[in-house]
Amino acid sequence: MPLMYDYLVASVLLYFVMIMVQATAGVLHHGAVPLLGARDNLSPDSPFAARAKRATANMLENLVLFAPLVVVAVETGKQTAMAEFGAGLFLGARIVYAPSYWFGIPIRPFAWLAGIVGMLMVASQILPFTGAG
Amino acid sequence: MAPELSYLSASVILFTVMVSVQGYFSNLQHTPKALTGNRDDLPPDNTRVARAKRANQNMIEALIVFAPLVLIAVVADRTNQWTHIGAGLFLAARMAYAPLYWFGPGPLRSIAWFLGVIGTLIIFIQVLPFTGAA
Repeated sequence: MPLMYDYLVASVLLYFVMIMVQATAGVLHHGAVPLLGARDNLSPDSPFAARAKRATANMLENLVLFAPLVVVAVETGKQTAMAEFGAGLFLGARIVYAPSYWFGIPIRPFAWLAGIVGMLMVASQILPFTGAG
Repeated sequence: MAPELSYLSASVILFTVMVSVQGYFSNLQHTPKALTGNRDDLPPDNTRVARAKRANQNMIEALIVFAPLVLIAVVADRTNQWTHIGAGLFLAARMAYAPLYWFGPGPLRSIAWFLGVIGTLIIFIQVLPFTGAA
C-alpha cells in the first residue's frame, strides 16, 4: 500500500477517534437516554462537548480537502517526496490539533496551519490543467 | 466494478436522497420563496427539518470515513469477503438510519448508526496503515 494511503487511513482513524471522544463527551453531559432519543430538545453542550464538536467539524472540512488530494496524487503517480512529506505533516499536525482543541492548549492555530501547509504541499504536486501526464 | 464500489455509489445516492428529503421538508416549512432568497432571517427549523439536517450532518461524517476506506481497499487491492460484507452492512445500516431519524423516536436509530460504524471498522481492518503490507 502506498505510504500516502497509510497517512490517509490513519487520518480517517484519527477522525473516528475524535468522533468517539465527542460522543463520549455528549453522553457524559446529556446522559445516554436523551442521545438515544430523537434529540429534538437537547440542552446546550458543555464547554468540552462543544469544543469536541468544533474540532470534529474542522477535521471534516480538512478531510474533504485532504482525501481527494491524496487519492489523486497516488492514482496519477505523483507520490513525490514533497507529496509524501506533506501528507505526513498533515497527519502529524492533526494529531496535535485534536487534543489541543479539547484541552484548550493555545498551539491549536499553529497545528491547524501546519495541516494546511501539508495539504498545500500535496496539492502543489498535482496542479490542475497543467497538461502534465 | 468491485461490489464495494457499487455500495459506495449507492451510499452517495442515498445521501442525495437524504438531501432531497431535507430540501422537501424545508420547503414545506419555509416556502420556496424564502429558500430561494439568501436565507438571512429564516425562522428556526421545525422538528422535522431539524431532524433531517442532523441526519444529513451525520451522513457526511460517515461518508468522509467510508469513501476513502473503500477507495483505498479497491485500488490497493485489499478487497476480500470482509470488505464486501463491511460495505454492504454500511449501506444497509445507513438506509435504515435515515428514515429512523426522520420519523422515529429512537433508540433504533442509534443501533443503525452503530451497525454502520461496525461495517466501516470491518473495512478499516483490511487496510490497516503502516503495516508494511503491499
